[in-house]
Formats: sequence, structure tokens, C-alpha cells
Amino acid sequence: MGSLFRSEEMTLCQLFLQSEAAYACVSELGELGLVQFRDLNPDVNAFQRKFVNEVRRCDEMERKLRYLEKEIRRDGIPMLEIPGECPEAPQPREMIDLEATFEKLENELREVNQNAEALKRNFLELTELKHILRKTQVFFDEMADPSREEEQVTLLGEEGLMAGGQALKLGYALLYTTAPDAFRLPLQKSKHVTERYYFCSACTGTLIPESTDHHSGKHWSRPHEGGASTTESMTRALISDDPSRHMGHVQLGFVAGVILRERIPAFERMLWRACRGNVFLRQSEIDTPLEDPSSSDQVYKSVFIIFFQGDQLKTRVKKICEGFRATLYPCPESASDRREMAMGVMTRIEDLNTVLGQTQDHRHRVLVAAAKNIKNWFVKVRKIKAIYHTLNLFNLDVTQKCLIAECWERSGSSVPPILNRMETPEDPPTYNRTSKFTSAFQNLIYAYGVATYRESLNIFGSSWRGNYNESTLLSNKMLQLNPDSDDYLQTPYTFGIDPVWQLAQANKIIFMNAYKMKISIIIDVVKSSAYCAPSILITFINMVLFKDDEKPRDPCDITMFAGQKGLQKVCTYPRRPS
Amino acid sequence: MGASAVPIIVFTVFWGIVGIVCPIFAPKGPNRGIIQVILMLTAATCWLFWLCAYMAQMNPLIGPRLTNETLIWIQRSWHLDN
Repeated sequence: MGSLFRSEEMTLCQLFLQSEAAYACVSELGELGLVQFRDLNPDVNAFQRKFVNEVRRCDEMERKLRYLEKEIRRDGIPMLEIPGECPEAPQPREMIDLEATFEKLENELREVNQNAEALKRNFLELTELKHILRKTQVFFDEMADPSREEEQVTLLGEEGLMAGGQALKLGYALLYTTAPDAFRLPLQKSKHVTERYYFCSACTGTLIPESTDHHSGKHWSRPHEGGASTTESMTRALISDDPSRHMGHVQLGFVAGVILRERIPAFERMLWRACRGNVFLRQSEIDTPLEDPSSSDQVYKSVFIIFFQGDQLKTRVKKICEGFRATLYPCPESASDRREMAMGVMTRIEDLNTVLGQTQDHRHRVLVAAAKNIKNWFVKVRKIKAIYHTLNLFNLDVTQKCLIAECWERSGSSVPPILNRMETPEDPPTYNRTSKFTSAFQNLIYAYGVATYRESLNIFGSSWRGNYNESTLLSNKMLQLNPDSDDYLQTPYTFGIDPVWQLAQANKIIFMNAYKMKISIIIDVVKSSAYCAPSILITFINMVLFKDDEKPRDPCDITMFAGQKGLQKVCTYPRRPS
Repeated sequence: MGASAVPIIVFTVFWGIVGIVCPIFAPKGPNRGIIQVILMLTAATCWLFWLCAYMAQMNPLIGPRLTNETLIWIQRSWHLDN
């Protein structure tokens, strides 16, 4: 019978299992948790064993379950804990059902996810297009309707006032650097007063006399319109909503697209350099963050529109856009087309929203259903896997009908018909019988390492014996052993400190402190010179009493260490007897 | 009370062998001296340490104060064993 302080006695056994029943047997043994199987084919590598396929299938199932779990976590659906007892290991035939279930779930989820991603991508594109249409509409509107521009100007007025003169100069410089000859051409050739006005409003009032046009005259009377109006009128000058108003014979093309906001500065610089300043970029930030469908991050983007002239520049601009991962969208030139397109986009966005909602609902339903069972499934699959791993350790009988297992088993219990006890010189593994209460402590101990077989958890004897009768023992919570009686064997413990002191939590420290005092004095005496040795104790006593040695002996120190007096004073200042 | 001769003799002889006999057979070479010193010091300090622990327990003034559970366990297991 095992004792509380030792691990159980173990026996090596040989098990003969019919191949049909082996699975069930191992499953039962596993639930009991009393045996440890030995690997009977250690030289066979893991891929050549009998039940590799099954183990692999289990691995596959586990992978699917992990995928499911990840998806469930992503949606923040709570997973139900296993109610009550752990599920038993399922029958082998149940494995096929499980596999089918997981397969179905995984495929469904993958499909839903794929659809959702495609839909989201589509949604993102449409949203971007919506923003482009909206923003570019603003650009175009500014240009198409001069009275509208005034509103804009008044809106921007204050800023313009402040930036005033500086911006004007800047605008001037900008125009001369940005505008290529092609842009200056229409000014000379055009008969359109408006165009002249548009163009020149950017070149500051000084170039054009106030009286050129009634329309612009009003305009020029306010020179402080500044930076804002400069660029806007440039835009207006550069492109036209109405094809007939294209500046003379020069054809200006434009592309519109969306780019990540943080890439804008580099993008702008790149465009400027690559096209030698022959393009004009306007951009506007999209206020709401958009969701990136692949990573589902929220990203900030900006709408831009680039004006250029000629096909060569067009290809160049497109290449740069591609390089900066900007997405370009078709933007019709006429206002009515744009409006129509915007309407179309809006309806499609609405449709997409409904479809997306439905997809997400479906996904959620699938996941909620899975979340109810997932823990259960995990346990089942792991049990199956563990069983097949164990079966892999067994030896196949010559007749192929029987599996031979060798295992270590707690002696005492016996299952005679199929169990064959073996004699062995080998060291058995350690098995500590635990109850619910002691298992916690045993696990703590296992954290430090498992003791070897039947290693005693005992202490190695003692010179002390308790000689009390039962009633004394039961009526007193604590008892002190008497050195002057039979309690003490009258000879000290042979090697080191008596282990019984480790159990005497009540006065272990008292004993150990006395021992340590003695040993420090002795060691100190041994290592210092014989002449000064006795004074060590004296200096110590003097230190405690705050006294000086009355008859100091010459080569010996009167203090324990240099600077002792000062330190002593500081440390004991409030309580020092003066 | 007091010491018993056997352990004292055994340990003294053991450390005597380590500290006195072994240095005689220390291998020749540049490190012979240091090996001898190591052996002697080891023996001396270990013997002294052992002796201190032994003597500290020779005439105990107090005995261990144990809980009755421990005492019951001690009486059960040790007295049965002995």
C-alpha cells in the first residue's frame, strides 16, 4: 500500500489488445490516467507508424478548429465553456462526422469571408468614387460659375485677408514657374475675355487694367483675395467643364484618383519633378477614414485631380500614380454625366450595404453556432489524437490481429485476462497518487521536477523522538521536546543540522540563530590572528553598548570595522543613549 | 549526553585523508602547490564547519517545538521503523 510520502509502486505490464478493441481500451485507460505506455518501436520514425493517417486527420481537424476559433475571436463572440464533465473520446466512426462538420464549416466561412472581402473592396471603390465625384464637382463648380467663386472667396475671405499680400506674390511666382508656354498661349490668342480674366486673376491685378471687363472689374477691386482665389482661378483657367471653352486649341486632360494621405507630399514632389512642373495637382482630404478590406484597418485617404497636357505626360502621370498605389477612377468631363454617375454610385452603394449586411449576418450566425461547440470539439479531437498517438506506440502482433502494448501500471489493481505482468530490472516511472486536494501541491512539486521512483519524501532521521501518549498528543496543539529526557537520544545528529528543526517552525529560528552566532565567532577567530582573536567578541559587545575598550591592545582594532563609530551614530541617532 | 566517538572519528579521518594524505599524492607539475593548498583548505574548513554543527547540537538547551500532527506522524513512522 502506498504511503502519503512516497510515490506508488509500479509494475511493468504487457497488454494484448484486439485491434478492433484497441481504440476503446486505450480511450478508457486514458480516462483513468493510471498507466504510462512505453514506445515499443522507438527506431521507427513518426511517419512510418501505423496510425499516421489518423493522426494527420486529427491535425487537419485541429487546424480547422483553430481557424474557426480565430474567426470567432475576431467577431468577439463568447465561446461556451464545456458544461460539467469533459466529453468522452468519441468513437472512431464519429471522427468522420466531425471531419465532415468541420469541413463544411470551414468552407462556408472561407466562402463568406471571400465574398465579404470582395464586397468590401467593391464598397471601398464605390465610396472612393463617390468622394471623387463629390470633391471634383467642387473643383469644377468653382470654375464653371464665377459668381459661385465669389461665395468661395468670401468664405475664404479671412484667411485670404491674412495671407493677402504674401499669397499674391506667391501666386505670381507659382504661375510663372508652373505655367508652361502652352498655358500662356491662349492668353495671347484667345478672344475670350473671360479666359483672359481667369488667367490673369492669377497673375495679380497689376498685369491687367481694371477696366478690361465689367465682370472682372468688380473682381479686381479687391486685391486681397489672395492665395485661395489664385489657385482656384488657375484651376478654372486650366480646365473647362465645357469642351467648347477649352483654351483655344490646347487640349488639357486630367485624371482623378484616391491616394493614402501620408503619401501626398512625396507624390506631389514626385509629380513635380518627373513632369518638370508641367502638371497641376489639386487635392482634398476625405474626412472619414475608409476601411482597407484586406487588413480591415481604418485608413485616411485624399482625393486628387491632376491636370496635364498631352499623351506623354498622361502616361507619365499614370505611371507615377501606379507607383504610389493610387487608385484612379474614371471621371466624366461633363457635369450631367458626373451627376448621373454619382446617382448610380449612390444606389450601388446602398445595394452593396444591404448585401454586406446580409453577408455579415450569415457569418455571425455560423460563428455563433460554432462557438457553442468549439471547446467540446477541441477536447474531442485532442483525445482522438492522443489515442492514436498511443496506439502508435504499440507493437503489431505477427498475426496482425492483436496489438501488443507495454505499460507501467500501479501494482495492486489487476485486470488478469489480458494483462501480463513482467519482471524488469528497469527503473519504473514515478506515479504519485493524488486526491483533489493534494494534486495542487503535487503539481507545484512537479513544477520543480519529478522525483525518481519511490524517492522518499521523508526526512533522514533525527536525534529527537516524541514520546507522548495519544491523549497528550490530541489535546495539545504544540509540544516542545525536552532535551533532558528520552526525547533526545543524547548524541547529536551525525551530519549537519538535525532535520527535525525544519519541522519545528515555532522555534527553528531561535535555535538557528544561536548556531549561526556561534559559528560566526568561531570562523572569525580561526581566520584572524590568534592574538587579537578574543577581542572580536569584546569589540562586538562594546559596539552594542556604545562603549570604548578601556585597555586597548596595540595592534588590534578597537572597533569592528573602520568608520564604525560614525555610522553607528548616524544609524542610531534618535535612540542613542547620550 | 555528549558526543559519540564514531561519527567524530569517521569524519576526522575522512577529512584528514582529504587534507593530509591527498596532498602528498598531488600530481607533479606547476600546479602542485595550489592543488595541495586547495585540498588542505577544503578539508580544514569542511571539517570545521561539520564540527561546529555537531558541537552546536551536543548539549541542547531547548528542543524543537512541534505541532502535534508532526509528532503523531513522527511517532507512527519512526517508531514503527525502529
